[in-house]
Amino acid sequence: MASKIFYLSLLLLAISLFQPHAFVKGDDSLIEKTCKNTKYYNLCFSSLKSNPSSANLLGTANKDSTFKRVLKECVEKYKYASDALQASAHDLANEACDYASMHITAASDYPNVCHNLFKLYPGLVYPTELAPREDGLKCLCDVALRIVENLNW
Amino acid sequence: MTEAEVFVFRGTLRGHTDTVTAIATPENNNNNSDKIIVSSSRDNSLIVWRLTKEYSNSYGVLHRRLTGHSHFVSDVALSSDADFAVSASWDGELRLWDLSTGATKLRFIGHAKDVLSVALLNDSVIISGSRDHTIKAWNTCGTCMSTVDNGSGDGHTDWVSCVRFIPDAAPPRLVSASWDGSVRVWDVDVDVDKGALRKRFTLSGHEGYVNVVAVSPDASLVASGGKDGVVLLWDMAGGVKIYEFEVGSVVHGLWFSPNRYWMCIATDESVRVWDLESNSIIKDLNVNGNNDHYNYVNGGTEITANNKDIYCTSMNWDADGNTLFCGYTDGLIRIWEVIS
Repeated sequence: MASKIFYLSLLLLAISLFQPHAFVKGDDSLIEKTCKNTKYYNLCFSSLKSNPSSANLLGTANKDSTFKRVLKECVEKYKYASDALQASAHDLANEACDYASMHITAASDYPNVCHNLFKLYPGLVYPTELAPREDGLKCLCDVALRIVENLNW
Repeated sequence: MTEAEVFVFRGTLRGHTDTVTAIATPENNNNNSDKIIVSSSRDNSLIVWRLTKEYSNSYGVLHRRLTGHSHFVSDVALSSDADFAVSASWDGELRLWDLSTGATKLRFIGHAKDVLSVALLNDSVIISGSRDHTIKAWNTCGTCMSTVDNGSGDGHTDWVSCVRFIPDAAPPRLVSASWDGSVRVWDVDVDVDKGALRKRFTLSGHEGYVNVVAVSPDASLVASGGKDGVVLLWDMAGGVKIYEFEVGSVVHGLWFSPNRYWMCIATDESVRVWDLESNSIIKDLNVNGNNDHYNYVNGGTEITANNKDIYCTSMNWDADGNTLFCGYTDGLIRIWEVIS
């Protein structure tokens, strides 16, 4: 039971990585304008607002529709990852470890999808700000997956 | 199996960087001058392999990598002439590929969640099973002809993990496996109400989710397996269970030999080849950890993977029944040959 509590805490930590709080002031109007075009406004706004260099990316993005479109897809992918992790926490609360494993496996790959999307367009460069998020999520998911696998046995 | 028949490890196909989820082989590789197989993977790609049969640790070459799916590719099916393939992906889509060019010809969009399995009938009817609990029938123009959900009470109540056609059945028949623990058999209407699925019977008996179903070449038997570590064998004439094999760990793959009364069972532990006639184990095919030892880094800490992490997740026989292709969690396809 203790490990389940630890696991739930770990999941909440992982989820919080993708719902960051604002620490510094970004260009609100530019961020708002960009995020209005995305499906997940709140996630988009809070992510970009917490990282002022992302606002600079937006300046570039507004001049490059491809970059803008890819970035928009990335926001969706990270939202899917968040959804999958929340589903996993729900599964574990119901002691459905197999379902939890499946959802964590799904979550761990969405950032890779984001990375791959940038590779599809030769002119685009994968933002350096995203790499630590991708690595961090994969590490957390791997740890979570192994914990769940141990619960399962 | 006579004493003269033995399994010999022939080599590997290296190209995928993550779990190999499915392997499709042409119905008749012998007539093709260019022998190929197609594999799907969690690395988001499919690979068309050209088999060279050089016995020097390489059994074939990566002929073409098919990219376009944005998440795991979970299953693949080949057309009868092996000119096209249909793939299922966790990105929610199915894709039709022209194997001669590597291009996507068609995308099948409609599932609300990950697509876990795909089956192809007469190069004209495509069936998909999904995490959204539904089974869909599509034509080769990309139109969804019908959807079975549980609204009617006939559909699965959980993730549909595997769909397979029963060959040469009249009317065409489909078998599906699900995380609801059941296996269901459907008639497929290809005439009046094209693509409509009508449930014939439900095969109940598993005590956990079902990962996979396989149909014997003569269509008389269906095998199912999953979480409970038991393979159930069902007679298709009456829909009754005729045997069960206790294999003791999660079943990830099942395949009947095309020309012998054998069934292959892939679990966390090994690939087991059963002789159904004598009800005995012919062979356990294992990964030799010493040969495939590897380390990986997790958050800076080096962890040594053990054999538990490397297991077979997919398999298929070549049409002649002498070559067994096994896809693994480490991205390799390992090949065994039956030698007389």
